[in-house]
Amino acid sequence: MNILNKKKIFQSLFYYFLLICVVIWSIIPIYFVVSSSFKIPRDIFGYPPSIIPVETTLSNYVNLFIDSPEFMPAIRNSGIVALSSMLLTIVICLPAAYVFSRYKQSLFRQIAILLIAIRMFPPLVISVPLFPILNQLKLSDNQIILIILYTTFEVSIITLILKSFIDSIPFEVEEAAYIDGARMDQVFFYMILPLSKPVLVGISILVGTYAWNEFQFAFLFTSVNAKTTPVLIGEMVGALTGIQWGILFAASVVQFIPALLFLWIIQNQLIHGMAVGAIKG
Amino acid sequence: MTDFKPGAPINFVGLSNFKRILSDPNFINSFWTTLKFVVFGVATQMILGTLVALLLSRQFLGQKLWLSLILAPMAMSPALLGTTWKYLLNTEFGPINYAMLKLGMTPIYWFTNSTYAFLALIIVYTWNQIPGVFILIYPSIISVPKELKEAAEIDGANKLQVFSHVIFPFIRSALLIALIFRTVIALRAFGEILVLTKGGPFRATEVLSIFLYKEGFVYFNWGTSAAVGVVILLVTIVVASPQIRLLARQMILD
Repeated sequence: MNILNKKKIFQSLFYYFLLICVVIWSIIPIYFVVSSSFKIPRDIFGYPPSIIPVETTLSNYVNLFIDSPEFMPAIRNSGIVALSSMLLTIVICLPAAYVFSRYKQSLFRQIAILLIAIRMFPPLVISVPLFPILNQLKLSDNQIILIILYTTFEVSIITLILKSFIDSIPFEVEEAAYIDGARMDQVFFYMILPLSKPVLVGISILVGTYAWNEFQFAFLFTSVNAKTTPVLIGEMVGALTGIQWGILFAASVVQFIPALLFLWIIQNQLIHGMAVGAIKG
Repeated sequence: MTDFKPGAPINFVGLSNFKRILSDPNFINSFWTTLKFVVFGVATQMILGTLVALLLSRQFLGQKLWLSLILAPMAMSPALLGTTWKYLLNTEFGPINYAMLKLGMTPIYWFTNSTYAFLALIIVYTWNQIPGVFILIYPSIISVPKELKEAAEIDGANKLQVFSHVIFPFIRSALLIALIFRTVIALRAFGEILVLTKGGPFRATEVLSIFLYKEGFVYFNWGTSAAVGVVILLVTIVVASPQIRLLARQMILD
């Protein structure tokens, strides 16, 4: 083997080493949460901290689902809010994106620019004026308000993503349909909608994950009935009676796994299709 | 611009809420803390995110798996992020302090010392945000034609020269967009800070959003709280305006 080859192999080994370092940095914190959720209390506080659980147990999960009466409702609330925001966003955005893509009057363009500006709006700023209004309308601590807020904050960016997708569908196909006497609603439902399906899956997941994970609005606007999982986890950390780490780890894992799976499903779209105006928050 | 408090009559008070916050040392403190947080937080995540993207652009065996693992932190909810790191950095039983002890360093009381608490916040935030930078930079790095890089290497350019002369021109606009967008996101960081440190110790991590929350939702000073909101909004507009203008121009051109 000549010297040049040796140098190449050494170099590539070095890059693999760097890669392993980056990967370890990314997943070690997650690994500790997951492995700790299977530890008995003595091992969670054990010194030195055990990397692999010494004694595995499911008792944290059993305690979570049986002894924590708040957890199941919180998961249910998160699910309802995520699913509804997802559907509502799609129902609003797909027709809007279609219009933005196919009708290029200047009024629509100005509105499209407004959409980008809205995307930049800090959500916290709106919660101050919103709070008294929601109390008056008796909408605080209600899933509906979370659904409306999440949808509002996602509509702008999702419309833009969908618009750029519809831009890529050649208009000639539609033209042919119009010549054959199709109405606009027929074109929309029988052509645009089926063609958009793959993008809609990705977008639904994006919105769903956002709603599933969102903390700020849920924390400010829910107290008992509509409390979502992230808020509950935040409360468990801040508990004055001391943190029950075992249950907390189990709750964290149950909350995290769906978000992670969703992320992995849309990973490719996220990396290659999201150059459109900087997506994730 | 009113002195609104629940139950009390509302009066128009002009700019006095702004005068009040500007003379409040806690507001000034949180303004500087925000600035520090944004500068350090965004700088570290941009540098590390770009380096990770450069590394991954070499295309390793099992590339897809590595990408999945590196992106994983961005699936974390702010609440979960705070929880996880509160455990990792725990002084009594956290793995990080144990590792430091083993390496011969003295354990750090992360959340009782102002400097360390701020440092901890930057580490945690960077960990969470690197994938966000990554997904914005990586596509533009892999779009750099291989021949260009190879040609430069044959001409004897070193790694740094290849980056600054070949890769950088390709990813400049992606970097700019990422920089602006990550700054806007950093300005609105709230949940992770609330769960991790609650703004403490001694207001060392109290950024504007936490200050706004305390003013409005803890002390019920809605007027001053809204004034803080206006300040956050103004800063965001200043930061975001180049990108909005850029995107607007693209929108008009197509």
